Amino acid sequence: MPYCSKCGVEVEESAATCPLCRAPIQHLDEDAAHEENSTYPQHIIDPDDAYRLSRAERRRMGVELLTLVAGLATAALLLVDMFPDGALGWSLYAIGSIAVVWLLSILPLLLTGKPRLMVVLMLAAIVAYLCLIDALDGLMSWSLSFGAPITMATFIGTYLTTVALRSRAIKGINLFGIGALGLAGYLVALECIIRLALHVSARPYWSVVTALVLVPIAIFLFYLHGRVLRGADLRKIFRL
Amino acid sequence: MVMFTNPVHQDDEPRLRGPAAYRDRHPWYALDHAAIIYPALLSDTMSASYRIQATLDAPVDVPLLQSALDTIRARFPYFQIELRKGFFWFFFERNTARNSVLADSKFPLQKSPVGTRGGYLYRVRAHANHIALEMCHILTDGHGALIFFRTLLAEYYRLQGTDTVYDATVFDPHGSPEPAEWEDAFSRYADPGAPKPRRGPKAWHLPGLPLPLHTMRVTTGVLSLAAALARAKECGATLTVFLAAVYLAALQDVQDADPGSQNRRRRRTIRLQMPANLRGFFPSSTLRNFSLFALPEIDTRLGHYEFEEIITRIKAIMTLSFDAKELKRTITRNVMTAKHPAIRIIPLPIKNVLMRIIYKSHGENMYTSLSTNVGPARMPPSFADRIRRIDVVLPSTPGLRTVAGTASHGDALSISFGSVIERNDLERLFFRRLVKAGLKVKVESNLSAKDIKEPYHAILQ
Repeated sequence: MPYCSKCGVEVEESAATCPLCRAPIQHLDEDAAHEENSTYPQHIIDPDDAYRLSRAERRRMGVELLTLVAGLATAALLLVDMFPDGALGWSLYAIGSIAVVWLLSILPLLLTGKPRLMVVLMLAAIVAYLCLIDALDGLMSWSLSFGAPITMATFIGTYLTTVALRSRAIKGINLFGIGALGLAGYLVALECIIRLALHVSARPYWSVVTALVLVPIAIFLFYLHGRVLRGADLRKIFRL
Repeated sequence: MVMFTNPVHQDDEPRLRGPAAYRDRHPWYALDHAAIIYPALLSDTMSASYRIQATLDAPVDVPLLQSALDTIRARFPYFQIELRKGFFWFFFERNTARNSVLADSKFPLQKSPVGTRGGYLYRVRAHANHIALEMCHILTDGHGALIFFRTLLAEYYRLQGTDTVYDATVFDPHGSPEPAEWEDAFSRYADPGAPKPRRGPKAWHLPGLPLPLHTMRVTTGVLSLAAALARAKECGATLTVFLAAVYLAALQDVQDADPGSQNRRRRRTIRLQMPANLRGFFPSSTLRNFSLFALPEIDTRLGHYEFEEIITRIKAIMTLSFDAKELKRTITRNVMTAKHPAIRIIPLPIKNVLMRIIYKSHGENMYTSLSTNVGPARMPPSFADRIRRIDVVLPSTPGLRTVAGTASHGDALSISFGSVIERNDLERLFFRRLVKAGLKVKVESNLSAKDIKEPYHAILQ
């Protein structure tokens, strides 16, 4: 049995170094190393692991393809626009649209596993696009008062609703309940934004009426899903 | 004998309403009082699971092991559950998903399925001639896990043609579970009105850089049980006390060499958590958690402790700690806190935050490390000679960075360190002390030389 001369402990036949002090172990029989005898395998197998390297490669190819298509379309539009009189005009709107669509397409591929960063960058891209389109006529008339806030409210509402939907392990009509709550919140935010942009009182009216209808519907759907259809015992959930 | 039907909430069991088929579809029960804190702590760095593994004399027949697992599961219905969130508390609900024997990993106790929908709180893994049970502490303590593990091995060998005589330590897979097996024994022995246990000062913690996420180092030393018992007897101690003394002495050596502890007056206490099975003090046949701990300590501000002094201290502290009246203090504190109306009405998300803070202040901060000795594995004689050794691996956490579990089988005494820090001073000093005490130790690790890419951050050589 090989042993470490520094620590004085015996080590496994297959050990090249001492597990305690990392001092090299001298083997008299070089063929003695057998991995099968070790308590733990020397490879990692965890139930949650899934090694599919081709996914990253596929994503990279997708980015390349989308970039090529967007680049060719942009070049074609520029040439067509410039062909009659050598000046740029309408094509700037089209190129701006292509650029934002390109960004929205490649961000999910580039930022897989980083949903929050992806959503923030998408939001920034759309707000920037709206401001750019608005500014092309030399007048910032609607993008900052309507476009950007409504886009932000849409993104935040969609993101929160999606997070809530994904958090449900058992999906059924409870998803419609979450959707109804998300819609209620979004409509209230939308009315507030419109009222503020029109410089009238920010206090919402019609959206509150809608919310007062949607919230009871959502509660009813949650009850139907959990209690009636799945037979959940309320005592286990609300046990004090 | 009371026939087992379904595990239903323990303290209001008879108050069942609705058609029987309705509640049979959704059986549930509450967590015991030792387990309620763990779900709030679960994270990538905190699995709250421990591992019992057997090294057999032959390669594991995985399909046969799967058959054995499928057979015994019905005998342990209170383990066939998943963890769910209620509005105020977590609860267990029956899990009907298949529980497959999994291939083992180089890094045990990682990526636990606990807390995911359909995820069990235990898993059985196999590799070469090793069978391992990774059990979450939310479900049961070492006593319950060992009974499950013995029963699994007994069924595995029965399928190979070796019959076992069933008793209280190895269950008949076709027997009927009894309600006492899923009793929350803490509630039974709580003594309202008992004073709270005294809380000591913060303990010193092992320094060290963390290993990468989802990895851990397991260092196992195997020695002769007879030789270790003889050495402990020479020191006038039991094996548990002797090993705890070596552990504290090794921790003291690490602290002596720690640059952050050079100012003796600013040193923190070295305190070891040593769990013990409460069934020896309070009769119970529960297979859920029922264990508490002693906290032997040395205050190194008073000077360097010699080995004999450490033994004396541990013996005294353990005698005082493992006293039924003293244990009731902690049992009562745990139970009455959870039953307090002001605690009960706190919604679970807020309760989780509070429990993490309490675990840090009243748990992790109080101990330097943890060492448990589950003692002899008590494998049935029918297949005991086909098992070479039994190991117990405990999960280290970011707070308790290196911990140890001890178990014996036959003459093989196995001491396994689980660690999530790069440096292994504690393991090295512990086993070197055993060698110096005249014991022959064989050491192995799940990390090989090629896994150590960076220079070893050891402060002692």
